[in-house]
Amino acid sequence: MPQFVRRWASYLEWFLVALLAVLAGLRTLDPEKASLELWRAALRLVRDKYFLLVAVIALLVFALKIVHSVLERWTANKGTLKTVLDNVHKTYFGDNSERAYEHRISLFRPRLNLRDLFKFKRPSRSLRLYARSGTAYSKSPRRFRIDDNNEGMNEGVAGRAWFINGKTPVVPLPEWPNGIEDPESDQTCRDYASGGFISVAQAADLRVKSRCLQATVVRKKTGERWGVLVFDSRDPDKVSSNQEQSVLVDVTVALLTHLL
Amino acid sequence: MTKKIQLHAQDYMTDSNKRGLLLQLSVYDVPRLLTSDFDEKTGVLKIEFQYLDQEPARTEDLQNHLSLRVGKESGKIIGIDVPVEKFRIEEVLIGISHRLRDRADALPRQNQRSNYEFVSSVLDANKQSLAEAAI
Repeated sequence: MPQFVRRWASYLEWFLVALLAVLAGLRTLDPEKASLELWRAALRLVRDKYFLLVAVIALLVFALKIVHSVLERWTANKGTLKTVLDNVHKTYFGDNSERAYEHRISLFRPRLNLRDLFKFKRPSRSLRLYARSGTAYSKSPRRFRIDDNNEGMNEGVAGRAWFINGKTPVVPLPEWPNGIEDPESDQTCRDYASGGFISVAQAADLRVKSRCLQATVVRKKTGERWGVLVFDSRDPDKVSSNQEQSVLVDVTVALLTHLL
Repeated sequence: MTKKIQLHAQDYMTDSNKRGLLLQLSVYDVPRLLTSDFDEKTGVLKIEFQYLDQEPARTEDLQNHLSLRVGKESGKIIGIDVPVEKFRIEEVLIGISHRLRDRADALPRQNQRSNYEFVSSVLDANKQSLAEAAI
């Protein structure tokens, strides 16, 4: 959808620029010499309201330029980035079985929490899912709060990587107990939550209870933080810091930086 | 004379403590190439570190006219300018390495601390080659 809007915003922009040139030409014509009443009225309008018409069109062109530029940033190479994640997934996890969906590589990006405006607060920021390997869980409402000034306010292993502006160690997590009614009172649930830098309520709310994960920051070529890459699996042994997997993590972030 | 040294992270992370540090280091904070250039006219030894990205630098002045160029966003060490007499280069490099290590403890971000530790190890290991470059 954003790609579609972006394309049509671009077409409309060109049309309006061309219209400015046409208006300049029409202004030189004498409306009284026109035979059709409608044509005469249009020429009069151009002659009498020329400045207003040009100003409105110029403003529209400017607004479309902004829309185009915002969408361009938002949609930057998303398809390409997802292709990278899909291919790295095959090599990193080396699992071609039906259970490959249990392992994921996800790319998160920071976004403003505009809902804070309704509470008359300065908008905070959260990491939200931008792209994910495979087709399972490709959409997620999960938000991990980030705060550059307060380390403890950064949620999740992704938030941790964002704050330290680096790579977290591999985080092993215990198995979430089945059918637990009050996770707050269960030690395993509390360990799971604290290990993953989230609250017990947030952990209980996770659709996928990963058993191991690692996150690393992704920076732009200018050194600015762009997002966070997370490797996670429901198999406790599938994310590790062995030589091959570490190199693959490094190569992936290097590749993403060059694609951004 | 300009001297270029290719850096391989594993060569500088030999003991177990340092290997632990390497695991935490982001690929963006590990320099790949070390360049040194001694300008005889000004007597300044310019040390540059090249990374995966091309982050713009800001200058920070340290003691004894030593100036450090650090990444505007990440704070990693991008370059060091050392006013030095030729025959004292090796000695001065040891001093810089110690100073960076001391400074690392006070830095707010883990990525910076790890980068300072790494750069310090690189300077320790290459002080002789860097000193030779100025001869």
